[in-house]
Amino acid sequence: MSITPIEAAISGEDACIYAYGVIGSQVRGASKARARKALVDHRAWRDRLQSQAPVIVAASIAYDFPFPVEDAESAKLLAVFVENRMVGQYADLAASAAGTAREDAVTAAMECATRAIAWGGMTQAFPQA
Amino acid sequence: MPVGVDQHVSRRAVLAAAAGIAGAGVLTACGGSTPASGPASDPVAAEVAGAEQALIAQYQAFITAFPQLSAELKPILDQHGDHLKALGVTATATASPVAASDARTAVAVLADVEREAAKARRASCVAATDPGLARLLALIAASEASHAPALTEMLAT
Repeated sequence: MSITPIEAAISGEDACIYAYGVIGSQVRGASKARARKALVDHRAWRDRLQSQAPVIVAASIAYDFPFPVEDAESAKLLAVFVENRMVGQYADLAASAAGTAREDAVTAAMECATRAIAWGGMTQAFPQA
Repeated sequence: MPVGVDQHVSRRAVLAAAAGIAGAGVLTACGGSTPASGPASDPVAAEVAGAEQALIAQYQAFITAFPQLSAELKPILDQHGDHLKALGVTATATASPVAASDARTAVAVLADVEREAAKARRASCVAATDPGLARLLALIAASEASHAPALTEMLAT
């Protein structure tokens, strides 16, 4: 069974929210504040998408990360990874949506790509994880 | 290093032009019934290609004027080249490059230009009729939005 772009985006946001819980536990100072802000922002996008989705999407209990996250450096790499990954999911959503929903998807993609830079990521022509 | 007094005028001029904001007509221009046969025939793609060409010309002008910026600006310049290539349209720049009084001003101008360009790409994305083009423009908007903080970081060092 294939899932729609909005369901994929909600699942992606759930993964981000989970990731930022882990990231926030590994970083300190300004990075912790950044993680907290990112967590709040992803939660807001998740709720907004869910309010527009025809089905209710459940979050997983836990998520596998692409690499072990056990210190501040790997936590920041995870933040770059999840943000860049979301850009692609929001681009998929933009392609399938129209009007305000499409505009919102692009805004979210812009925010994710911008956060990836703040976490130390490199700029990309077509941001992807 | 002193910041040029004409900085704000320069920025505004380049914002209006290089970002390709003045393209409201495109919204109605692509409402026809002819299905898009790829970006090349799409007026939205053509308009964005012109704006990308203007961005490329602006980066090239600043790299020529301030060679010390070359190493850091070149990767971003290349990304705009990739954007243009992906649009599949040969374009002429929609604006002429502006000058900056010093390297720091040039970088600050580019950061502003990228922010405005990202917003313009978002508007073009909403106007696009072809889903593939919409997806591409969403990615370009995200890329250009991410250029702004990367450029701002250059000012901090």
